[in-house]
Amino acid sequence: MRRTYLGEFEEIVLLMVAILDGDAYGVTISQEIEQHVGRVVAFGTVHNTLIRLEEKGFVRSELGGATAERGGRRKRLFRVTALGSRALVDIQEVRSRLWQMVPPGALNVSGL
Amino acid sequence: MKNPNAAPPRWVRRLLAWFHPAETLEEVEGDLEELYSFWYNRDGETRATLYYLRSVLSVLPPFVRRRPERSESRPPFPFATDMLRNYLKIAFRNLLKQPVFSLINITGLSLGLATVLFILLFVQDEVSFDRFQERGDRLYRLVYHYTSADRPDGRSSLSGYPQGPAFTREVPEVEAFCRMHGWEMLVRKGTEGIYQRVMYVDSTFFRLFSFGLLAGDPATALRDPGSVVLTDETARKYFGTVDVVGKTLSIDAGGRFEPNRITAVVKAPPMNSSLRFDALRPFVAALPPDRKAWGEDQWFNFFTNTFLLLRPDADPARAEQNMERVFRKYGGKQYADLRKQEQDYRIQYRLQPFLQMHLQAGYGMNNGLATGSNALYSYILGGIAGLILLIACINFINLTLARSLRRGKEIGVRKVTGSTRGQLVMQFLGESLILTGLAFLPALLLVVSLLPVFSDLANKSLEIGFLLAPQTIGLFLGLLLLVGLLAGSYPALVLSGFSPIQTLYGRFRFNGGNWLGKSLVVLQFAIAVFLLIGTVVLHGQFHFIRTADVGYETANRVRVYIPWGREQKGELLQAALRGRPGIRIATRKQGGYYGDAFLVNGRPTRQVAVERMDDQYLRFLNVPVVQGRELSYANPADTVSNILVNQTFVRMYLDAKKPAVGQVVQKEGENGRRETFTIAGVVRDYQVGSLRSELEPMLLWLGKPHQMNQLYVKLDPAYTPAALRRIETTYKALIPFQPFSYEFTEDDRMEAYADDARWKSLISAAAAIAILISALGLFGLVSLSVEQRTKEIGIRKVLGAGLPEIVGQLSGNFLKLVLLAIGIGMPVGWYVGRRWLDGFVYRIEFGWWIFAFVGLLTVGIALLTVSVQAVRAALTNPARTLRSD
Repeated sequence: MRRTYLGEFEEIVLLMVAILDGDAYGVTISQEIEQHVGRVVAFGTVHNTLIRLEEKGFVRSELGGATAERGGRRKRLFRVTALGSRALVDIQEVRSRLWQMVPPGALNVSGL
Repeated sequence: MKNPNAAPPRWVRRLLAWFHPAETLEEVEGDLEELYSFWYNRDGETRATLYYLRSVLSVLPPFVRRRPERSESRPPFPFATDMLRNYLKIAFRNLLKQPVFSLINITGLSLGLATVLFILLFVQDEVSFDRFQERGDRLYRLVYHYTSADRPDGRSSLSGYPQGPAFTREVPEVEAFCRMHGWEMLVRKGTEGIYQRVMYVDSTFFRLFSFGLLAGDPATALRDPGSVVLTDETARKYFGTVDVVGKTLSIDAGGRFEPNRITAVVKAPPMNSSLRFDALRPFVAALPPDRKAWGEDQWFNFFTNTFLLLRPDADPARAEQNMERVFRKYGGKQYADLRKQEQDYRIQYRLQPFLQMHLQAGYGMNNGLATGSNALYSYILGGIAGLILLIACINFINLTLARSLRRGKEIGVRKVTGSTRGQLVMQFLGESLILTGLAFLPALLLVVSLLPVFSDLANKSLEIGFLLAPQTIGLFLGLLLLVGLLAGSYPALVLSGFSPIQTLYGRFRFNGGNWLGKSLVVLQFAIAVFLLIGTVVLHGQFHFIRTADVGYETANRVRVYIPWGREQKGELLQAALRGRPGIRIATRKQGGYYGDAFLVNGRPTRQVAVERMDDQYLRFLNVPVVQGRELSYANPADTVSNILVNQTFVRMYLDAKKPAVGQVVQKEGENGRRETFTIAGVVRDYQVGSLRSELEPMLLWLGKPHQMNQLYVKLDPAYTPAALRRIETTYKALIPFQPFSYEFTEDDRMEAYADDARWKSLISAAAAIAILISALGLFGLVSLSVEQRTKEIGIRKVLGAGLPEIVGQLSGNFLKLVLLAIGIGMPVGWYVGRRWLDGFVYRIEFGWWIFAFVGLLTVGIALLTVSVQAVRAALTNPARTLRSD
């Protein structure tokens, strides 16, 4: 089966959308990435990645209702699609398989 | 956490608004504003502005990715399948929800469509006439126009022996000619003779006309006088095969059968050919054996049709000029002689395009050419079909508009959920197309099953095959689209214009009184009234014709045709029948009538109808002699020099001062000798021609046996079948090989009105359909109006209104419309009916009874339609209609 290639940053954004579970939009995703990954990215990068993920079919979006905040402008809320969640699970499985193939002691994480 | 005063610099926001893609501007603006206030609170204004600027730059082109356009950002495509499915579902639900209205609409439209299909078939047949002729654009028929002092100007398609050859020889534009002369002749098959259409044509026939030869050589097939060319149908009929070249066929030659050698077999002419024949024979074979009697140089002996083939690119007008020159050169002397007798007589040769022959009335179609038609018939029938279709479309428009109140909510909801007006228009047009499509099937069934009846009425042999031709399918689709749009566009525009606020608020009503709907009802009924007037006038005049006193009797009388050359046998037959049981009178006379001019007191008469009959004929007709005496074979002078004339002849020509009996009538004989006849008696006038014309002056001779080929028999009404059987057996015994047939003289008389009879049936059918569809539409409108007013009626009843008041209330409005329609339709009907009646000299009066009858009938039908619903509404228990509030 041909897998759609998922870039590293794309994977992070997709995971964030999954984590935020219905509350994912530009602001929350940027903030969560900064907070949990410790990376400061330009807003445009998040924006473009979200659009690309939607084109690939990993997320879907809809405009949320207007709120009194932000001048009444609507938010675009993102959710992971079935395809997106399968892609995440696949990556997870591949990773854990690979982790199990690493011989014990090959990685000296502690630096000892 | 949020500072309401925190706002990013305005110029950066403008930058964003100007350059960021419009599709995502709203969400990005919102996100960035939210982030700005977050940064503002965390890092202070300067940093926040910096971060904000960086973020804005990152979402400006060329860095930003554009969101692909999604369907939800614009109105969906009207033919998106899920919407389409919804439209279909709603359309059929609406059809089924109100089956009565759907039925009315479909019935009306089917009838309208069927009428149009019939007329299309008719017109298609008319315009396709003779089109299969490959050289049709170069083919012309030689005709002439004549003027004279005492006759109306006229046109004729007949020509004589010399025109064709002379014009072909000396007019450069003419390439070839073909003369044609045809009639029905007996062709022998075994022991019986069958009448076949035989055409005598020049050997150039196949050079001019495109009839495919199945066998034989077109160049030589018609050269030898003893040859005959059969159609494949005739060959099969007589020989059972088309392989007949070289065989012989016996054709009647005036009393005996002569063998003819078959030289070729030709494909039978199609139904839309003006030239129709079962067999072709050489032109010379129709001429007398004595060549001197041919009249080779007789320019004024008109008996044949001459067809001319012009050279490609020849100018017909120039050819006509050249023909005039050639005519003066060869026929000039005879022309001058004729004009010495009749100074104002002028003739002029013309060319009639062959392809126009069928639809160009006025020249006559003689010599076995298929009966001509008139383009006017197509227009009249097309007009009627159009009117009926219009009535059906009006039903659709009115019913759809009246029902639209029920659909107001649907339209409102559709609009609120984002439907555009264009989509709604498409939806309603689609619905009208579906309904038209549904009406098409019954229409086709109707056409298929009624085609024989219509063919009969139209005096045509229309074939169902045409309905299946590919070009017809295109025509059908066009018709479907036309009717769907015609009926659907106005309701679609109105319905799609409903305001959702009004319809959803629930108090939506049509206002403005729906004047269009009302005027459409008026138009419908006006058309129906117009057609009804036509029907009544036609029936009235026809009844008048049937019962008119024509001066002679026709009941229980038959005519038997004695074939050409067997006149002596006719005499034997008459003698054998005379005095037998069941036979009252057996008499003979010439076939048909012909006109001749005489001299009375030195003055020439106009054409006088001449009758040659035996001494029993007047008694047979029961026409009395009012002065003088009858003629009798017992008196030798009666067969030579005594004549009878009718009262009109006396009035027009004889010297009124002297008694009619004894005055003389002279006839200019050949070689200038004058024959003199003495009037022995005057017969009462009787109408030999149609009632369209005046009584004609008439002159009656005692015929010689060989001049009389019609046998007339008056039967005893008590023994009619036995007498007819006796005539047949006697006929068969005396005249072998002849098919026996007889006509009742009443049918003979009505034959002159066959066209009128057909129009009578056609217009009656049209009027019946028109009134039926109109009444259906009215029924639908009334029931909708009643439905809308149930509460009102309930309240009226509660307050004490009785049945008559309520019915009057409900019916009054509609009756007013119908009365208005009667007022409009009647003058139009009167005018057209008057014009048609003007064609008859003897006719019914256009009395008030016609208007009274049509008016009462229309009002009666309308009242019946309206009151059925009105009475039902008025009888409803108000408790039921009012309890829901």
